[in-house]
Amino acid sequence: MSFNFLITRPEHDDTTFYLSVWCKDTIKLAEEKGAKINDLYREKANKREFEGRVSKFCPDLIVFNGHGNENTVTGHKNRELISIESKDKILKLNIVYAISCRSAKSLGKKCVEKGTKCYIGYEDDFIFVYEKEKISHPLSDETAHLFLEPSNLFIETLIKNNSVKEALKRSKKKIQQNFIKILSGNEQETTLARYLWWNLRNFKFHGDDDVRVES
Amino acid sequence: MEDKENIAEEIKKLVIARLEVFPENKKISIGNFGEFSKNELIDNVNKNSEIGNKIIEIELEFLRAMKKGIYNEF
Repeated sequence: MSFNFLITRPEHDDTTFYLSVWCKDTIKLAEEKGAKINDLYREKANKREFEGRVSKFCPDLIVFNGHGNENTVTGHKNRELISIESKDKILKLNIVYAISCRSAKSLGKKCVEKGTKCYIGYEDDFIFVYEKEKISHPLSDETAHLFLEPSNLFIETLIKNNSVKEALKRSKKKIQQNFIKILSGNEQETTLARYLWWNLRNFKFHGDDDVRVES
Repeated sequence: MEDKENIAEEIKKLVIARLEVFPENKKISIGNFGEFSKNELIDNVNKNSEIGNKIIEIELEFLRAMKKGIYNEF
Protein backbone atom coordinates (compact mmCIF):
# COMPACT_ATOMS: atom_id res chain seq x y z
CA MET A 1 0.00 0.00 0.00
CA SER A 2 1.40 3.37 -0.93
CA PHE A 3 -0.44 6.63 -0.84
CA ASN A 4 0.38 10.27 -0.45
CA PHE A 5 -0.65 11.87 2.82
CA LEU A 6 -0.50 15.62 3.36
CA ILE A 7 -1.11 17.02 6.83
CA THR A 8 -0.92 20.59 8.08
CA ARG A 9 0.20 21.25 11.65
CA PRO A 10 0.37 24.92 12.54
CA GLU A 11 1.33 25.60 16.16
CA HIS A 12 0.70 29.13 17.33
CA ASP A 13 -1.88 28.84 20.14
CA ASP A 14 -3.22 26.23 22.58
CA THR A 15 -5.72 24.91 20.04
CA THR A 16 -3.30 24.38 17.17
CA PHE A 17 -0.65 23.00 19.54
CA TYR A 18 -3.07 20.38 20.87
CA LEU A 19 -4.26 19.39 17.40
CA SER A 20 -0.71 19.20 16.09
CA VAL A 21 0.55 16.97 18.91
CA TRP A 22 -2.54 14.77 18.91
CA CYS A 23 -2.29 13.89 15.23
CA LYS A 24 1.35 12.72 15.42
CA ASP A 25 0.23 9.12 15.91
CA THR A 26 -1.72 9.24 12.66
CA ILE A 27 1.45 10.30 10.83
CA LYS A 28 3.31 7.40 12.43
CA LEU A 29 0.59 4.99 11.37
CA ALA A 30 0.64 6.32 7.81
CA GLU A 31 4.43 5.87 7.71
CA GLU A 32 4.06 2.28 8.89
CA LYS A 33 1.57 1.74 6.08
CA GLY A 34 4.16 2.97 3.61
CA ALA A 35 2.62 6.33 2.85
CA LYS A 36 4.61 9.23 1.48
CA ILE A 37 4.18 11.97 4.10
CA ASN A 38 3.99 15.70 3.48
CA ASP A 39 4.03 17.13 7.01
CA LEU A 40 3.49 20.88 6.80
CA TYR A 41 4.60 21.72 10.34
CA ARG A 42 4.56 25.21 11.86
CA GLU A 43 5.95 27.75 9.33
CA LYS A 44 5.66 25.17 6.56
CA ALA A 45 1.90 25.28 6.96
CA ASN A 46 1.67 28.13 4.46
CA LYS A 47 -0.15 28.64 1.19
CA ARG A 48 2.90 28.45 -1.10
CA GLU A 49 4.07 25.19 0.43
CA PHE A 50 0.54 23.73 0.43
CA GLU A 51 -0.23 24.61 -3.18
CA GLY A 52 3.21 23.39 -4.29
CA ARG A 53 2.74 19.98 -2.65
CA VAL A 54 -0.81 19.63 -3.95
CA SER A 55 0.29 20.41 -7.52
CA LYS A 56 3.31 18.09 -7.32
CA PHE A 57 1.95 15.09 -5.43
CA CYS A 58 -1.89 15.17 -5.73
CA PRO A 59 -2.20 13.79 -2.16
CA ASP A 60 -4.66 10.94 -1.71
CA LEU A 61 -5.50 12.19 1.77
CA ILE A 62 -5.25 15.72 3.14
CA VAL A 63 -5.80 16.52 6.82
CA PHE A 64 -6.01 20.15 7.85
CA ASN A 65 -5.41 20.99 11.50
CA GLY A 66 -6.03 24.63 12.19
CA HIS A 67 -8.51 27.42 12.24
CA GLY A 68 -10.93 28.46 9.57
CA ASN A 69 -14.34 29.72 8.68
CA GLU A 70 -17.07 28.86 6.18
CA ASN A 71 -14.87 29.84 3.25
CA THR A 72 -11.29 29.28 4.39
CA VAL A 73 -8.87 27.01 6.18
CA THR A 74 -5.79 28.64 7.63
CA GLY A 75 -2.28 27.51 8.46
CA HIS A 76 0.45 28.83 10.72
CA LYS A 77 -0.42 32.14 12.41
CA ASN A 78 -3.89 31.96 10.85
CA ARG A 79 -2.68 32.74 7.34
CA GLU A 80 -4.92 31.40 4.58
CA LEU A 81 -4.05 28.02 3.05
CA ILE A 82 -7.09 27.37 0.89
CA SER A 83 -10.35 29.20 0.28
CA ILE A 84 -13.34 29.20 -2.03
CA GLU A 85 -11.34 31.76 -4.05
CA SER A 86 -8.43 29.35 -4.62
CA LYS A 87 -7.68 28.21 -8.17
CA ASP A 88 -9.79 25.32 -9.45
CA LYS A 89 -6.80 22.96 -9.55
CA ILE A 90 -6.23 23.58 -5.81
CA LEU A 91 -9.87 22.90 -5.02
CA LYS A 92 -9.87 19.63 -6.95
CA LEU A 93 -8.54 17.21 -4.35
CA ASN A 94 -9.00 13.57 -3.33
CA ILE A 95 -10.09 12.99 0.29
CA VAL A 96 -9.95 15.99 2.62
CA TYR A 97 -10.58 16.05 6.37
CA ALA A 98 -10.56 19.49 7.97
CA ILE A 99 -10.31 19.70 11.77
CA SER A 100 -11.12 23.31 11.41
CA CYS A 101 -14.19 25.34 12.15
CA ARG A 102 -17.09 25.65 9.76
CA SER A 103 -15.21 24.87 6.55
CA ALA A 104 -17.56 22.01 5.62
CA LYS A 105 -20.29 24.59 5.18
CA SER A 106 -19.07 26.41 2.06
CA LEU A 107 -15.47 25.47 1.30
CA GLY A 108 -16.27 21.75 1.45
CA LYS A 109 -19.17 22.13 -0.96
CA LYS A 110 -17.09 24.28 -3.30
CA CYS A 111 -14.25 21.74 -3.34
CA VAL A 112 -16.66 18.96 -4.27
CA GLU A 113 -18.19 21.13 -7.01
CA LYS A 114 -14.67 21.54 -8.39
CA GLY A 115 -13.96 17.81 -8.35
CA THR A 116 -12.82 16.87 -4.85
CA LYS A 117 -13.87 13.27 -4.20
CA CYS A 118 -14.92 13.77 -0.58
CA TYR A 119 -14.60 16.64 1.91
CA ILE A 120 -15.26 15.93 5.57
CA GLY A 121 -15.29 18.59 8.23
CA TYR A 122 -17.38 20.62 10.61
CA GLU A 123 -20.21 22.93 9.65
CA ASP A 124 -19.87 24.96 12.83
CA ASP A 125 -17.14 25.50 15.41
CA PHE A 126 -15.07 22.47 16.39
CA ILE A 127 -14.87 22.39 20.18
CA PHE A 128 -12.70 20.56 22.66
CA VAL A 129 -12.08 20.86 26.37
CA TYR A 130 -8.64 20.43 27.92
CA GLU A 131 -6.92 20.54 31.28
CA LYS A 132 -4.99 23.69 32.13
CA GLU A 133 -2.14 21.82 33.78
CA LYS A 134 -1.68 19.47 30.81
CA ILE A 135 -0.93 22.20 28.30
CA SER A 136 2.70 21.12 27.97
CA HIS A 137 1.76 17.42 27.82
CA PRO A 138 -1.36 17.24 25.65
CA LEU A 139 -1.18 13.49 25.12
CA SER A 140 -1.66 12.83 28.83
CA ASP A 141 -4.76 15.03 28.89
CA GLU A 142 -7.66 12.64 29.57
CA THR A 143 -10.23 15.37 28.96
CA ALA A 144 -8.89 16.33 25.53
CA HIS A 145 -8.73 12.61 24.78
CA LEU A 146 -12.54 12.42 24.87
CA PHE A 147 -12.77 14.97 22.06
CA LEU A 148 -9.70 14.27 19.95
CA GLU A 149 -9.70 10.46 20.04
CA PRO A 150 -12.78 10.20 17.76
CA SER A 151 -11.14 12.57 15.29
CA ASN A 152 -7.91 10.55 15.29
CA LEU A 153 -9.90 7.35 14.87
CA PHE A 154 -11.49 8.84 11.75
CA ILE A 155 -8.05 9.50 10.22
CA GLU A 156 -6.66 6.11 11.27
CA THR A 157 -9.62 4.31 9.74
CA LEU A 158 -9.02 6.10 6.45
CA ILE A 159 -5.28 5.32 6.58
CA LYS A 160 -6.17 1.64 6.95
CA ASN A 161 -7.91 2.02 3.59
CA ASN A 162 -11.48 1.88 4.79
CA SER A 163 -14.10 4.03 3.11
CA VAL A 164 -15.07 7.47 4.35
CA LYS A 165 -18.45 5.95 5.23
CA GLU A 166 -16.82 3.37 7.50
CA ALA A 167 -14.49 5.96 9.07
CA LEU A 168 -17.44 8.24 9.85
CA LYS A 169 -19.35 5.33 11.35
CA ARG A 170 -16.47 4.33 13.66
CA SER A 171 -15.70 7.91 14.66
CA LYS A 172 -19.32 8.70 15.48
CA LYS A 173 -19.56 5.49 17.47
CA LYS A 174 -16.54 6.59 19.49
CA ILE A 175 -18.14 10.00 20.11
CA GLN A 176 -21.23 8.18 21.33
CA GLN A 177 -19.16 6.02 23.70
CA ASN A 178 -17.33 9.05 25.07
CA PHE A 179 -20.62 10.91 25.43
CA ILE A 180 -22.00 8.11 27.62
CA LYS A 181 -18.73 7.99 29.56
CA ILE A 182 -19.01 11.73 30.31
CA LEU A 183 -22.64 11.43 31.34
CA SER A 184 -21.82 8.68 33.76
CA GLY A 185 -19.15 10.84 35.44
CA ASN A 186 -19.55 13.45 38.17
CA GLU A 187 -21.73 16.55 37.80
CA GLN A 188 -18.83 18.72 36.61
CA GLU A 189 -17.86 16.25 33.93
CA THR A 190 -21.41 15.99 32.61
CA THR A 191 -21.26 19.66 31.55
CA LEU A 192 -18.79 18.62 28.86
CA ALA A 193 -21.30 16.35 27.10
CA ARG A 194 -22.98 19.21 25.22
CA TYR A 195 -19.69 20.08 23.48
CA LEU A 196 -19.04 16.53 22.36
CA TRP A 197 -22.59 16.37 21.02
CA TRP A 198 -21.99 19.69 19.22
CA ASN A 199 -19.03 18.24 17.32
CA LEU A 200 -21.05 15.19 16.36
CA ARG A 201 -23.92 17.32 15.09
CA ASN A 202 -21.61 19.37 12.90
CA PHE A 203 -19.43 16.53 11.60
CA LYS A 204 -20.45 16.36 7.90
CA PHE A 205 -19.21 15.21 4.55
CA HIS A 206 -19.74 16.31 0.96
CA GLY A 207 -19.08 14.13 -2.07
CA ASP A 208 -18.69 10.37 -2.32
CA ASP A 209 -18.41 8.61 1.04
CA ASP A 210 -17.55 5.29 -0.61
CA VAL A 211 -14.06 6.50 -1.55
CA ARG A 212 -10.85 5.20 0.06
CA VAL A 213 -7.31 6.57 0.07
CA GLU A 214 -6.30 3.79 -2.29
CA SER A 215 -8.93 2.85 -4.78
CA MET B 1 -40.73 43.71 23.76
CA GLU B 2 -40.39 43.57 27.52
CA ASP B 3 -41.39 39.89 27.46
CA LYS B 4 -38.66 39.11 24.92
CA GLU B 5 -36.08 40.85 27.07
CA ASN B 6 -37.23 38.94 30.12
CA ILE B 7 -36.98 35.64 28.26
CA ALA B 8 -33.47 36.53 27.05
CA GLU B 9 -32.45 37.33 30.62
CA GLU B 10 -33.94 34.07 31.90
CA ILE B 11 -32.08 32.11 29.24
CA LYS B 12 -28.86 33.88 30.13
CA LYS B 13 -29.34 32.95 33.79
CA LEU B 14 -29.97 29.34 32.84
CA VAL B 15 -26.80 29.18 30.73
CA ILE B 16 -24.72 30.80 33.45
CA ALA B 17 -26.08 28.33 36.00
CA ARG B 18 -24.84 25.50 33.75
CA LEU B 19 -21.47 27.18 33.28
CA GLU B 20 -21.05 27.56 37.04
CA VAL B 21 -20.60 23.78 37.14
CA PHE B 22 -17.90 23.81 34.43
CA PRO B 23 -14.67 22.47 36.00
CA GLU B 24 -12.26 25.17 37.23
CA ASN B 25 -9.21 23.23 36.09
CA LYS B 26 -10.29 23.05 32.45
CA LYS B 27 -10.43 25.36 29.46
CA ILE B 28 -12.49 25.15 26.33
CA SER B 29 -11.24 25.70 22.79
CA ILE B 30 -13.95 27.12 20.56
CA GLY B 31 -12.53 27.38 17.07
CA ASN B 32 -11.55 30.84 15.95
CA PHE B 33 -12.92 32.36 19.13
CA GLY B 34 -9.98 31.00 21.10
CA GLU B 35 -9.61 29.36 24.50
CA PHE B 36 -11.66 30.22 27.58
CA SER B 37 -11.80 29.42 31.26
CA LYS B 38 -15.08 29.03 33.11
CA ASN B 39 -15.04 32.64 34.36
CA GLU B 40 -14.24 33.99 30.90
CA LEU B 41 -17.19 32.07 29.47
CA ILE B 42 -19.51 33.50 32.13
CA ASP B 43 -18.21 37.04 31.51
CA ASN B 44 -18.85 36.66 27.79
CA VAL B 45 -22.40 35.44 28.33
CA ASN B 46 -23.04 38.37 30.66
CA LYS B 47 -21.65 40.81 28.10
CA ASN B 48 -23.71 39.35 25.22
CA SER B 49 -20.49 39.05 23.20
CA GLU B 50 -20.28 36.92 20.07
CA ILE B 51 -18.75 34.03 21.99
CA GLY B 52 -21.31 34.49 24.75
CA ASN B 53 -24.08 34.16 22.20
CA LYS B 54 -22.41 31.08 20.73
CA ILE B 55 -22.40 29.44 24.18
CA ILE B 56 -26.09 30.27 24.58
CA GLU B 57 -26.81 28.80 21.14
CA ILE B 58 -25.01 25.55 21.99
CA GLU B 59 -26.85 25.25 25.30
CA LEU B 60 -30.27 25.83 23.74
CA GLU B 61 -29.61 23.48 20.83
CA PHE B 62 -28.45 20.82 23.28
CA LEU B 63 -31.56 21.20 25.41
CA ARG B 64 -33.77 20.95 22.32
CA ALA B 65 -31.92 17.81 21.21
CA MET B 66 -32.33 16.30 24.70
CA LYS B 67 -36.03 16.96 24.53
CA LYS B 68 -36.34 15.34 21.09
CA GLY B 69 -34.23 12.37 22.12
CA ILE B 70 -30.53 12.92 21.67
CA TYR B 71 -29.76 9.31 20.76
CA ASN B 72 -31.58 9.80 17.46
CA GLU B 73 -28.60 11.85 16.39
CA PHE B 74 -26.03 9.16 17.03
